[in-house]
Amino acid sequence: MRRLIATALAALVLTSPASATDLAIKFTLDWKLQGIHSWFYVAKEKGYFAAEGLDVTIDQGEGSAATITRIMSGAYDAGFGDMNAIVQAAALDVGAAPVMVYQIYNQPPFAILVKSGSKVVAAADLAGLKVGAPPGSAVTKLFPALAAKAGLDMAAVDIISVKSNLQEQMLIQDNVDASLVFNVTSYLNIIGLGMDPETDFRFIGYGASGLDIYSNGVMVSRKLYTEHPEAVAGLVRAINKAVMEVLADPAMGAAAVKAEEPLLNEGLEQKRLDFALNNLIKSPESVMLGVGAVDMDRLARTIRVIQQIYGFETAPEASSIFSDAFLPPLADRTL
Amino acid sequence: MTPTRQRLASTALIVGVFVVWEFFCLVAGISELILPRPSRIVASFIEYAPAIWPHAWQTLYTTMVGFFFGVIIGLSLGVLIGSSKLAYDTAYPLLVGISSIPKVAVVPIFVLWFGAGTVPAILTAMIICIFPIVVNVSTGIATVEPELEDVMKSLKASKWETLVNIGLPRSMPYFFASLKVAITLAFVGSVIAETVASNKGVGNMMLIASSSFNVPLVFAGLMVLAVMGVTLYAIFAVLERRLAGWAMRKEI
Repeated sequence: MRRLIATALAALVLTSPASATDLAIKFTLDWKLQGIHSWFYVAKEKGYFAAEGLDVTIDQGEGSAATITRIMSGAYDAGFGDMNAIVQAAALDVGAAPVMVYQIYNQPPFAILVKSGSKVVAAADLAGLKVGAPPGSAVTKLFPALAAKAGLDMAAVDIISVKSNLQEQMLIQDNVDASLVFNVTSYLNIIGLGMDPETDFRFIGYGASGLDIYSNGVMVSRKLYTEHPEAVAGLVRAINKAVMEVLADPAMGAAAVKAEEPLLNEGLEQKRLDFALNNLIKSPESVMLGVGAVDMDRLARTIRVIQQIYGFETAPEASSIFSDAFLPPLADRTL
Repeated sequence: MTPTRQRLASTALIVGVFVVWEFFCLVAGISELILPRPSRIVASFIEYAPAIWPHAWQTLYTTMVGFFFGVIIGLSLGVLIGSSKLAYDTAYPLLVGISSIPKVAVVPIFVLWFGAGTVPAILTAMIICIFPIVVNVSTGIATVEPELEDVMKSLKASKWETLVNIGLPRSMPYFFASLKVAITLAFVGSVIAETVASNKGVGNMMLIASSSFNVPLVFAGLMVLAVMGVTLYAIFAVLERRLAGWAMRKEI
């Protein structure tokens, strides 16, 4: 810890007095600004990035897989995006793929959504039913892998392509028996439709159904990783500090995104944040390993699942996808 | 119809559309999540005006910068293509190809090159408005009457002098007509880029509003765009009348 403070101070001394000497880092989110991005803005507004000698610019994103493309193109140095997309990129060229350095979503956000009155309680019950799935989305691409884990015959499922913004309505009107959704998005959409996601619907998580893959986290470009490891460590430290503060006080996080974009509905964003905290971040694993870390065996299993879906010949090593070298000490990351 | 009555009629039509809309929503009991009433849209515009303003300004800024470069490039390309048969034949297929690409597919590429934000919006606005300008200006120059060119030749005018004295003035009505189309297209370009990748702008604001289920605010965004579009169209219509009014010899 003392060494950490010493390096942080050294970084401060080296980079002061002019902030012009701060290392500029372009950071991309996975989607438009939402409550679940609060820690990045907290870290920026409270000066945690600046204290690490970093001048971070945060841009909004266009999808959690697009984060990887943006970083690989060199337009961005770091970002918040999907672990599975890194695996895909690394299977093609390990030297170009970004490196995950701080895993935020410990549980996958993918889920099967059914009405609470439905007889479907597990993935295997979907046989013979109509399932609405958004084409091109990760939740749809991972469904065959889930079916294999859950012992569900894909041929027995009637998959119907549905645009993601119509999924809940199709389900309410009984056009489909179940929808494949991102639980954070869907939970809030249901509230927006004036219904109660807790009592009117049931979420069957992919994670609970046996597909225990990782999803979004903080990643850095291979260039930043090799040329500026101290900056990566600083970035992770600053984000971790903000994550822990938001975990302790979600209302503060929601207020931070509201300050960034006054048009957001603060109450709604806090609900989104609370949902992500309880369903995506807090898990028995993250309680044990601390926020930001991954279980390398589980990551290796994730990689094998992705390999089966996309059929690439050699799977990348888990150690080339995730690096725990920049994680702050466990005591600073404990839930 | 007298001008006053004409103006009254067009105002009545606009007001009428909104009144029918308002009553339709009230009578049919349509949910605000599907189609908010105009009075709700105006109310949400007023409520959020201070927060809308930076977004509107960003969209206006990227549109105008993109439009400015689009006009410069479009005008020069149009003059080049219109005054040379060779350039016309060689460059046209390429231009048509570029303009046929849906611009929404180009934005992610700009983002890979320049990052999200202002630059992709400016570039999208620019490329979307080049084509109509090129087509119109080159048509204007290419359709100069051969008799006029013969007169210039008999006066020993060079190609350049013919272009400056006959071709360019002759293409001005076409040019200004294309500007009215181009400025509205430039708006479309900026907003497309903002919905795909940006931190600010009306397109971004509408996405944020719809993810917060604030549908009246989404419509307020559309209203802001419509008002800005109409205003700029009107400005260019006035400019056209001042600078190329001589071409309108008939009372329409």
